[in-house]
Amino acid sequence: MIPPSTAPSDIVGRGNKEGGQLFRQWFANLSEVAERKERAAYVFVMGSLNEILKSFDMPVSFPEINALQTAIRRVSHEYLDEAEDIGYSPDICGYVKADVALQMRGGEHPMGKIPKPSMAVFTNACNTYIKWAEIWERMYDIPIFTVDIPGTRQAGIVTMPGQHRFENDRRYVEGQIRELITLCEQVTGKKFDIDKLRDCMANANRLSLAWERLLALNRSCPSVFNALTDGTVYLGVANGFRGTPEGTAYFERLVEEMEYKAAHGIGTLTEEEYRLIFVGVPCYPIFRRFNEIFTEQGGTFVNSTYLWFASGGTNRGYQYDTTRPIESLAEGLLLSVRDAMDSMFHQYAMVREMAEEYSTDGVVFHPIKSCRTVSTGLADSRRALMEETGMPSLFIESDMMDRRVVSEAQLKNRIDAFFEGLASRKHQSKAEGAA
Amino acid sequence: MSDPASALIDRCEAIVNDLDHTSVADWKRQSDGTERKAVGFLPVYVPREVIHAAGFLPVGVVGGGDALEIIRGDAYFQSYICHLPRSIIEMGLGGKLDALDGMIFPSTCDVIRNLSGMWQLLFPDKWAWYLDVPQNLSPRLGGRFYAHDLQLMAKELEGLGGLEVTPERLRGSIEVYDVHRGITEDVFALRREAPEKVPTWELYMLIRAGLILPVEDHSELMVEYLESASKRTAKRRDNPRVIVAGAFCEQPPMGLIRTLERAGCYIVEDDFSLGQRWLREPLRITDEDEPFGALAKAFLEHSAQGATRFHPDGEPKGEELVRQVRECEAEGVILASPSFCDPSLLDRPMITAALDREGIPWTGFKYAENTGQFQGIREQAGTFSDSIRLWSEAS
Amino acid sequence: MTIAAGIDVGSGAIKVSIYETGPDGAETRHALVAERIRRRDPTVVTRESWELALKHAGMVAGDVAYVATTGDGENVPWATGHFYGMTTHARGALHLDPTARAVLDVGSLHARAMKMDPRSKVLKYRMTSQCASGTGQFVENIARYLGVPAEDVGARSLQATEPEMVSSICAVLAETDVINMVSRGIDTNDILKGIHMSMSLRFAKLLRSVGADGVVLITGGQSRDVGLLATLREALAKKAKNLQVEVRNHEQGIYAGAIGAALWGAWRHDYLARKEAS
Repeated sequence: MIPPSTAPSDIVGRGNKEGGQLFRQWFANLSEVAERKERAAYVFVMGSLNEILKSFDMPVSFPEINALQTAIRRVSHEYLDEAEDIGYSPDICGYVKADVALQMRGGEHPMGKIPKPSMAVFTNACNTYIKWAEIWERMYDIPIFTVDIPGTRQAGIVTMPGQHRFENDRRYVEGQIRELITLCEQVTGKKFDIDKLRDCMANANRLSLAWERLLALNRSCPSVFNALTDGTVYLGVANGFRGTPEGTAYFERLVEEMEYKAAHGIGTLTEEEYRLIFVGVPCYPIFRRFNEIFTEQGGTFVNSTYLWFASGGTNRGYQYDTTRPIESLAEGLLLSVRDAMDSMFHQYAMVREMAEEYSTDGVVFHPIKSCRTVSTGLADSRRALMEETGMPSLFIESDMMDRRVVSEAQLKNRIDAFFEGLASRKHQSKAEGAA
Repeated sequence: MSDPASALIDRCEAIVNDLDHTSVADWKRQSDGTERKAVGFLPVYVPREVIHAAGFLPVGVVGGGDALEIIRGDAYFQSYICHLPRSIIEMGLGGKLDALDGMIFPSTCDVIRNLSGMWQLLFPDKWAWYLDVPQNLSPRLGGRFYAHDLQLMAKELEGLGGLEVTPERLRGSIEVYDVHRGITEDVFALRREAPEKVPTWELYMLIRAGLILPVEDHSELMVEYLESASKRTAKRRDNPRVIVAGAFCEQPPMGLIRTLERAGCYIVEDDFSLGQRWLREPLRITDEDEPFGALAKAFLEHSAQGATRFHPDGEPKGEELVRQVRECEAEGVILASPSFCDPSLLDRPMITAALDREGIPWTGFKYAENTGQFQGIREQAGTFSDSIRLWSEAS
Repeated sequence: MTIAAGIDVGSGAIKVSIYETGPDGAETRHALVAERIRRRDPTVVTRESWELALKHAGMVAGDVAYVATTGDGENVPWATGHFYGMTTHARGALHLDPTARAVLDVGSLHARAMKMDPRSKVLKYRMTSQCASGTGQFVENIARYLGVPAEDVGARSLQATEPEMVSSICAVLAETDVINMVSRGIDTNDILKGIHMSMSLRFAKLLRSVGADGVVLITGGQSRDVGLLATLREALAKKAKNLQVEVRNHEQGIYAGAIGAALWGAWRHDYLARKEAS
């Protein structure tokens, strides 16, 4: 258990510290599972179904998180090379390749050892998830389970609970959740315990609420956390510890910290000159440095679509009704994951709203080589945003895993030019304000 | 000596190469001054029966190939993406899809899913629909969901001015497509039996024209072709029989297909037209069958094993291809994937492993719809063809 | 006994060979024909060359069991099968010089190097890029410009005393170089050797990149050019001291593709016959 804070001076910065601790603990636990030759359920960040899996006490592993950690630890290229050597194309998702190499290495990972899969659960939020799981299925002969979450059929037309179209989709999801429960019973040999699910859902409720609150708190000026760097730490905990008491406690304390910072005007930079939104997936091969190029010039990220879709839509703050757990889980999953998909496939309106709500000076679009799921449409969203709002924006390409296509010098040139534009715009509006 | 089959292919070529879709616009205009409607759809699979039953013309949109210069389309996308969406956006912006009253984007991959959102942003006045084909393959869940989703789409088409898709109408359309499916397979069977009579570039043009022509006309056209081509007396060459796989969405340029053939390969099976051959069996619908359910059932039970469809059954990937190799008496496989095509490229290592296990020779490359230089591919295919004939036995 | 023909459709000339192979591995030549296309319809030239070869061999088409095309000959209507140029040049080179373990094929629009095993299986290959610089057509254009008959180019190059290297990168630039040299009064022989030297530099690089080892046979339209042979030997001696290569040419090097096609055609015919019989 994390001890309650005593003095305000202890508060600032504890979210990152405790997040780091939790994460080291997370990998240590996975390593123990692997050492005991036990297996873990493999799940993904967009619709992890952690509530169900945790109710069966299954250890879970997030291959996406394992993969991005190899980039942050600067060894992703070794893994990518190994997968490319056996025929995986340089064109495709770096996460998949890092994971394939990880499996070939028997789970050897810079943060410890990753257990083999007992089963895999994934949604269609990313089509590559499906292809990825098919690899494990053939590699280990394990059951894999797709939770097919119907997407938005027409951008802008969002169906809601109670409507015929929504309810039809919800029933489909619910049916699949029930199938998943049966599968979990088979894999674990345990009987499904609905009260345990209720507990997990109650924890998830508190976490979702905290997550929503956390994001909202960054509307304050100065912003209280950096959505790109700090946000990624929080995201890891939100995904890994969803439905657990540790996760809930962590987020409630984090909200406490951020409320404290907001109340005391404590920001992330000495001087917050430019409030930015990040659209896409971070550049993990030079994670810290990438962010520094912005912060050195007084820019900080106040929000990102990443915190939306990579939390599986937790940003909606959906609250399960634990009196009808399965139905409500289906509804929440449909709403949240559909929202995550929309923030990748139809993100324009969301970015525009985000930009308004967070008093934004500019938007950074970051498409990556690895991923067409999140990168397609970004150029078009940017075009629409600029046409409609005149919002300054930057469009830079690199990758989340493959340092061969990350050119720091080129990125810096583009980012510098972006800030020059922001500065002259600020100057101009000041001059206009004075006149 | 005149060859009616060649003349038919010339006609198909003219239809396919008309990127402005003039034939679609012509079809829409009726003699009484009223207009019919046409709806476009993207690869891979969309049940055209539903569009047909609404009285609309389903039109497959697979990009502009190498004939279209991309001027604006590039500005709408990042660098690391296949070529198909660039050229479809280019066509849309250039008015080449004006004849289409709506567009359907099936859940083929995330690029096409994304394109459905872009389409709505760029062409707010046009109807755009994301068709969510099921990834859950149980009849009770995925089947029911999909049947309902098709009904939803039918309602949308009705709202767009289409006829009500009654069970009778839909059954009628399914029958029309059953006929079409049967003839299509006959043409492919002729190529398999006598590849010297049905060059793949011809077959390709014939099938591609079917994305644009009304299904009834296309069936007739194929029957004529079949009759004429089967009478050909071309000499069979000492070419290896190969299967081309992986090219089911963004299409290779015609020059590439011709290059493979010129390099001495008889292509006896391919997946260029996977979407049109998605349902492998005729539905043989009866008056008692609920037709939406029948389409859903066919999807669950008789779909082609494409890379864009989830395979939960644990059968090793590539087994289907191995079976095809055996059935077609093919001697090798050419894996052709569009650059940055996630489904095609992600499957490749498992497919090549299956081919290796079976000792089936293969070669692979990437292409884009506007690939202009074929020398490298010619070399590769030529060497492959030689190695099948000379070294698999001589060594 | 199997009679087979090879038709090599090049961009500058059509080459036809007719061979007879025996069960003991004997390879008997019945005809060799090479005909320059010279702006004529290649299909017509191909037909004429084919008929001429049959005439030389004293045969009719029906006597030939397998007609194999190579080069750009995929569409020859009476062919039985087609083999890729690399496969046939390797096989032809082995026939002309059984000790050859690498081939440098210099045609009129391209050049390629291949390393092969003792059965002529191509192990590694490299081609020059699209640019025509340093290929047959290019040498011919320069020779025409200098007023030297094509067949004299090699001998004149050997007589050079102070050769000057031309640009080896681009055909257009190389031609400008040559015009420049002429206006500066450089001796024709020296210019020709300069061209051979720049070509040889590229070819030496190709051979190195495939890891050529042992005997290298030059094939294709330029195989008879003794000037090129000499500069290539010099270039390899200088630039690739660690490569134990010996470059040779052969009087019939130009036919290598057609010969290889015929021999593979005969092999394939026998193989298919055996397969049918079993």
